[in-house]
Amino acid sequence: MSLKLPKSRIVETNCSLIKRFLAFVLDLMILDFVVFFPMKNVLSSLIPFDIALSSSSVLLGNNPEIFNKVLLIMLYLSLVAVIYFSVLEYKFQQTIGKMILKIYIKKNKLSFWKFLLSNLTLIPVFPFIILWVVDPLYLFFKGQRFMEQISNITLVERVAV
Amino acid sequence: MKNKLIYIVFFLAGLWFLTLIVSGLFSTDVVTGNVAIIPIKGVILTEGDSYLGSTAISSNLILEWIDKAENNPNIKSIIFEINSPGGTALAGKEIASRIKKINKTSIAVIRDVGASAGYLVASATDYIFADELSITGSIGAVSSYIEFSGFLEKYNLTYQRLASAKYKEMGNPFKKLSNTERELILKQLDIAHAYFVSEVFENRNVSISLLNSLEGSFFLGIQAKEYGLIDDFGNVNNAKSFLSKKLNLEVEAYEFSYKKTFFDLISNKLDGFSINIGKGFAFALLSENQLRIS
Repeated sequence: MSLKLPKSRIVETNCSLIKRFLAFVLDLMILDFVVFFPMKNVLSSLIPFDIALSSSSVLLGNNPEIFNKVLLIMLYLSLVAVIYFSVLEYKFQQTIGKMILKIYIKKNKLSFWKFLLSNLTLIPVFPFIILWVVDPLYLFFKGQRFMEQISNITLVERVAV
Repeated sequence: MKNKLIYIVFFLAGLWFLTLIVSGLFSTDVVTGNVAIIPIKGVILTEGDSYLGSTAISSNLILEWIDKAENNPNIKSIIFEINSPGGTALAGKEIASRIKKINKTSIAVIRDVGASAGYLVASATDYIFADELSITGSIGAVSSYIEFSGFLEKYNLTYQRLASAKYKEMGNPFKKLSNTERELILKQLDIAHAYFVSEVFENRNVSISLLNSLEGSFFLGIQAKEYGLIDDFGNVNNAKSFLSKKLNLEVEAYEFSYKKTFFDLISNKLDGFSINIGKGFAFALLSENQLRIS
């Protein structure tokens, strides 16, 4: 006798924190190994990678010229990261990391600016740097980043029920 | 799916290429490698990059390069590549004093010439290389100049001396130097000479009596080594090998270079132009003189 069970349905739910975190790490790795690669030589010549953190802070403190260059490079790299996330999310609702982890942004006919707004968290200067604290806290308690909430962006995954 | 993949690949390649271009902008004057080479070429002055149409190097720029090299923890040693007939006492002293404060191995490599202030700079380093045929030494001070008083007299020109004090115009090329003035200038030169000698004695541990006996003459590298004015024969490559052994590292040299601006190029051209005008006048007068004789 065969049981007549209801067919499984695929539904969209908010994605898990772990998947979200892993996707972000994967994206950072891609950016680091591919996109940021040409800048590594410049950065290592400014701040040697083999010196202690305290020595590098002394080096930056004593050399305003090097400090300014490092700051500009960081700013440039963060802008590239913002462009990477915003363009791919706008175009495909996914970044490479999200594709691998099979999570995506719910289709909502959002403008490119909304995606750009949601990724401003990546810029390491004031006032955006405040979001480095606000965003993870918001995510932990509400299941969504603060900037995503503002931009009406929802990160989801498909699960069978 | 295929289109998506192509889009992503091109997008990443575009970002990579953009970063490559931007990295080029940032790396223009970034000191790389582990050994810095600082060229000291031409007359050493405190400012400016030309002296009577000849190449000159400013001590300000050299000090700036030394600071950059010293503050970079990647740089383990500094090589000073010297090709200078000398310069002003102050400019030479400024560089030499700064070199003595460097807490990294410093080496001087004398090329064609490393004399007078050029040698003063070399003597402040930890080790000096020079070729057997390099010209070095010339420890002393000069303040020679061309006097035009006879020339003015010959062409019936009068120099109106208007000075508030007796020795205010000492060394003015348009008036005859009196014996007292000559003695005063020589006294200053003696002080400068004594300073130079004491500096070399302190830096190189060559006896003061020997340095005084050299009477300010220049030497070829062969003689200079005998007197202890240099340590070894060699060029920049020898200096690199020396450092490689001493510091146990594979030398990757970064050479500082003076990037001339458009204004510098124009200024140098004008300098040469002015000198040629002066030469033209001189030759015109010379021909006239010769004509008179004939």
